[in-house]
Amino acid sequence: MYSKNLFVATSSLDNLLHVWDTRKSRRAPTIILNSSTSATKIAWEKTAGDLLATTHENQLKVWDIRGRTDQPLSIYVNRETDLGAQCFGNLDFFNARSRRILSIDFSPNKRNVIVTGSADSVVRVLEINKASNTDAADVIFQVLLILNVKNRPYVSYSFGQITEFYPILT
Amino acid sequence: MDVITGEFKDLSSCFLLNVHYNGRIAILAGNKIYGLVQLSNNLTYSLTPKQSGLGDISDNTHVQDIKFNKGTKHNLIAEASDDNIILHDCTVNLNLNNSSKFLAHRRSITCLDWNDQNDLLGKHLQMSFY
Repeated sequence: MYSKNLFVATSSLDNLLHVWDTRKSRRAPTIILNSSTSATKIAWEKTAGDLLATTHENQLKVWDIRGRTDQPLSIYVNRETDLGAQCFGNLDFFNARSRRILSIDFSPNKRNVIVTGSADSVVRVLEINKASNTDAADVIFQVLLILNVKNRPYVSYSFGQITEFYPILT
Repeated sequence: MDVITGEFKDLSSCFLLNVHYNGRIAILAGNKIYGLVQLSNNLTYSLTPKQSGLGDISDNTHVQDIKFNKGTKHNLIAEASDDNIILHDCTVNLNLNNSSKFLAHRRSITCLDWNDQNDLLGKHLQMSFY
């Protein structure tokens, strides 16, 4: 009988993303995607399970695994321009390392909503939308919310860097 | 809010944590040992030394990630260790049984994630792959 929920996605330093069916005795990945650069974090979309998000330094890539193409659905680049000086007075703080995305997770109940935590101590809530003025297949990231958690003691982080997310399922 | 704390020196080398779907079991993993902790009032736990496929304690594997399945197979655990995926079955006695290991990548795995809710994905893959 067909049972669900036994697929595992892995990211690796070999620049490949694999989706595994853990029920199969023959150990070959069911889906292979070439991400060009190595991904450090990987997360499934939680409501339909057909999207994958991966982080690559300061980039967030979203993959539609139904297409099985090596072209991501969309790429979000973590830039300092979406923060501005109102969050940090000294923009010299930003460099390539501080823009690294360290953690990602999808919303447990809202499709297309992703939250990222980066080395600049900022949580970004992003929504993936279809671009209204271009091809319907194009999708864009819209920043819904930016939280500077540097001076918020009730948000858990380590040395000013947000490393993990634990979504609250309420 | 009740807070239960416990100190487990045997688990001090573990640096990864994941919690079972029911919230009553947590797995901790380090490079040489697994620890399964019963999250109850007395915080009982068990230790399982990591072993390679030949039965020898493998001290050179670097565990990168470990996660419980959050779907129908709640006791299934996936571990990314170097370039391998290791699947464990967690029993009610806090033991890891039926571990199977297979080569997954050519270089070290950085992260893994279970597909929690994949009706569409499962049907899609089922139709196209078999």
